[in-house]
Amino acid sequence: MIRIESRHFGTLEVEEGKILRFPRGLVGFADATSFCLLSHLEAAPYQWLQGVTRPDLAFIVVPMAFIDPAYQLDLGETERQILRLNPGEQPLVLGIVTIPEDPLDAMVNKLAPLVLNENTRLGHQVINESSGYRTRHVIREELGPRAREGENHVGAYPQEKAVIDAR
Amino acid sequence: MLVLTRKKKQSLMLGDDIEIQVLEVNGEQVRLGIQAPAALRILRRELYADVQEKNLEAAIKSSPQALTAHLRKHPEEPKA
Repeated sequence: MIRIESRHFGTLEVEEGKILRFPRGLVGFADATSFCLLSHLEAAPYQWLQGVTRPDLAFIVVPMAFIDPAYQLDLGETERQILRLNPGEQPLVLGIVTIPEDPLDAMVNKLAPLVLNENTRLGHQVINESSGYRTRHVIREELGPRAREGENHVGAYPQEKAVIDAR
Repeated sequence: MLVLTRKKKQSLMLGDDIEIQVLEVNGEQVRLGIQAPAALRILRRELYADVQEKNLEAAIKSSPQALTAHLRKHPEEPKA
């Protein structure tokens, strides 16, 4: 068990096997090389990517497939090597969410997704340049009519109930 | 920082397998051609800086309170 003093969730104990390694860190956070995913049912499909080497860091993330089912990821050979992703294997792609003062304008970064190989538990932030995606896309606009069909769960997020993701 | 002067068509070698050539100079714009191994990711600096800045902003602004507000407010506000 690794014990971390998180910024938002108090002391967390994380099983070694649940740790996600980001060998290159995140862009601008070279020392953020390991994380764990925290999830809570009521916050689904949003999750927290909680820093382990940098416990002061916690990002809200959301599956890119939820935001944009047609999302295109251009993964180069270098990235595949970092992730140890075999040909034909599909990574999990998460977008980092920023919530400004008006939460209706919450944004997701489609240019630089977090790409995870769930088998090796290796992750990497890919700058998905050739796609024309930007660092800021308003989630409400991305979801469009889907937001009103109840696909996006609503509910409070009891922080004391944050659990270590079983994935 | 190493500073070099190059003319159109001249190039630079970085190590053995990276070549940067000045293709065209047009006022303030310089067109460069880069030959490098496919595995090397080449990015415009401002793109990298943009991602860096947004990562930092996301880290600062992320709080359980913000997420709760987003989840509550996000989908169902009926449009007038």
